[in-house]
Amino acid sequence: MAMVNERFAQLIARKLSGEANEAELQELEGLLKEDPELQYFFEMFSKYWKVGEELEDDAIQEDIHFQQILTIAEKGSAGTVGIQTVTAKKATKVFNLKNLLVAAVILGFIVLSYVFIPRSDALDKNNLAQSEVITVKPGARIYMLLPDGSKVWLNSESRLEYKKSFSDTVREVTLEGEGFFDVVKDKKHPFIVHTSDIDIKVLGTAFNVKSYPKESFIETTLLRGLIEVTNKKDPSSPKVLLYPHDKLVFNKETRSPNQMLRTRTQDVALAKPFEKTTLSQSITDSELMETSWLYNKLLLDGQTLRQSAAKLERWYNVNIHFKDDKVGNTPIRYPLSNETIEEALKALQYIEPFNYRINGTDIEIWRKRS
Amino acid sequence: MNFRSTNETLLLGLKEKIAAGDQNSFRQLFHLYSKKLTQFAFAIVKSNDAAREIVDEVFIKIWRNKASITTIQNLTVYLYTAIKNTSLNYLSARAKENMVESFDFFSVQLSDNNSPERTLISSELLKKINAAIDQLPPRCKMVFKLVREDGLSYKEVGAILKISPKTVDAQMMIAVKQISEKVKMYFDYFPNRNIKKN
Repeated sequence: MAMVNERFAQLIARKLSGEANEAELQELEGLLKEDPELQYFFEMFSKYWKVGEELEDDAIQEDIHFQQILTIAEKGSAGTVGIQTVTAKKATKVFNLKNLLVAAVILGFIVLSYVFIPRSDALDKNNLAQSEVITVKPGARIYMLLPDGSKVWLNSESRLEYKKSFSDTVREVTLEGEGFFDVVKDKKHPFIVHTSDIDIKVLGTAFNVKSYPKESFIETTLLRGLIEVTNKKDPSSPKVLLYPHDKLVFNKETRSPNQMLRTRTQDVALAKPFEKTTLSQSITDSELMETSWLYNKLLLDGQTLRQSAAKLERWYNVNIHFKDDKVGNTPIRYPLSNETIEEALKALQYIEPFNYRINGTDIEIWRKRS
Repeated sequence: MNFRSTNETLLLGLKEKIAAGDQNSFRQLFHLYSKKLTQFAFAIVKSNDAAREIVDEVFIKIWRNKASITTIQNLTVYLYTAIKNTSLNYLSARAKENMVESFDFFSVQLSDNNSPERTLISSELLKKINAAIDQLPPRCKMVFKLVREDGLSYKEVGAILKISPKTVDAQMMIAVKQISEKVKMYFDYFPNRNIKKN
């Protein structure tokens, strides 16, 4: 191929970027006519220039993001409880828009106020006792802002409680279920997430906590920042520090480290009953199993159908019954997003052959005889 | 690429509607720019989360000061400049000095949507071109990306990066020349390639 000289390169760049004037366009045409090899490069490069031009973006994901920005922009500074209620509801609408499955599910938003007649000496204490409680119905997910501006995403069947005095002192919340926290930095007011067995102290950060009462593990995954985890039942045990992309699994029952299902991670030696792993840095939040639910995705990442049953039940608000022991034992790697439960089951049948029957919210699964 | 002229007319209308408080127009503006701006911010701060936050911050500011948006002459240049400044604020003061001196710490990522199914170029060739672009000096790569992927004019790129349009022109020339030299080897592997002769 003939050398592309500087003038030719300049003209190509100007033409493709729309900077070329009439004389330059003619000059380029002349050069191209003289040399078919230049012509070939020019054609190839013009095609390259247009690559990706007409791509559709993930408009829905972007819309959710936009809604969050608008909410914050409209809200001004830290808000009152009233505004928050609206915020949470608005955001839910957006979440639901994306996923028709949960469209029918109405956000359960209960504000319980425990108002006691105060005795004068216990006035402060009683005010502190006033709580906001947010519960999420099965199959729904919500996004909300805390009074300090911290963002919280709550997954299906979760419950978050915080005191009215939230922003004044220590920012404390109690979580049951799964939540993703993006915490506003504020050194003077530490942020603490209480779960049934562990406390997570946050030092300005984004992380995911999964702590469902029915499950034996509490999982904490840190995306950025730094958090400190303590075992509530054994306060003398050493605190565990998590760094970005660390995942900590606490075993509530055996109180001993359990075998991690994830194979691509490396294990870190740690005191029982904690198990810490470091997740791959290169995968994005939406590809990470721990946070995929934020993106309306349910990632089955190498666990069997049996191990994922609780997740699927929450996601689709169904009950799954395995009719025999032989079914549901094949490891599955599959991303679910907008599928109905029926579509999901059909897709999973390709990975592991099984029969199913859907009866309202009950799903029976049994082995396919070959 | 007809992107620019349609874009200018569109922006003019958007500005007025946004100033009047029209959320839909604000949404359109966000869709037009958020991805490109996030990539631009990422090139400076090198963190996805930070880049996203920076873009959020700029858009939040725009909405909060929407009444004054009509006074902005070139909204594109304004947005990129705001992202650049916010990104630099995010980085340390020392990084800012580096930035002013050179563009060496730009880490430019090309869009990952260059899959061969989407185009008429073979994946082999696409790889070659992307590799060639990856080897460009950071400033050159940034200029090339802003012109090709973001569809900005030489003048706009100059205004955003604080270099003259002439320098943008020269950088673009260097980029195209280097790419052609790198892919030349690819062509040479196929000496009998059928080339159109007119």
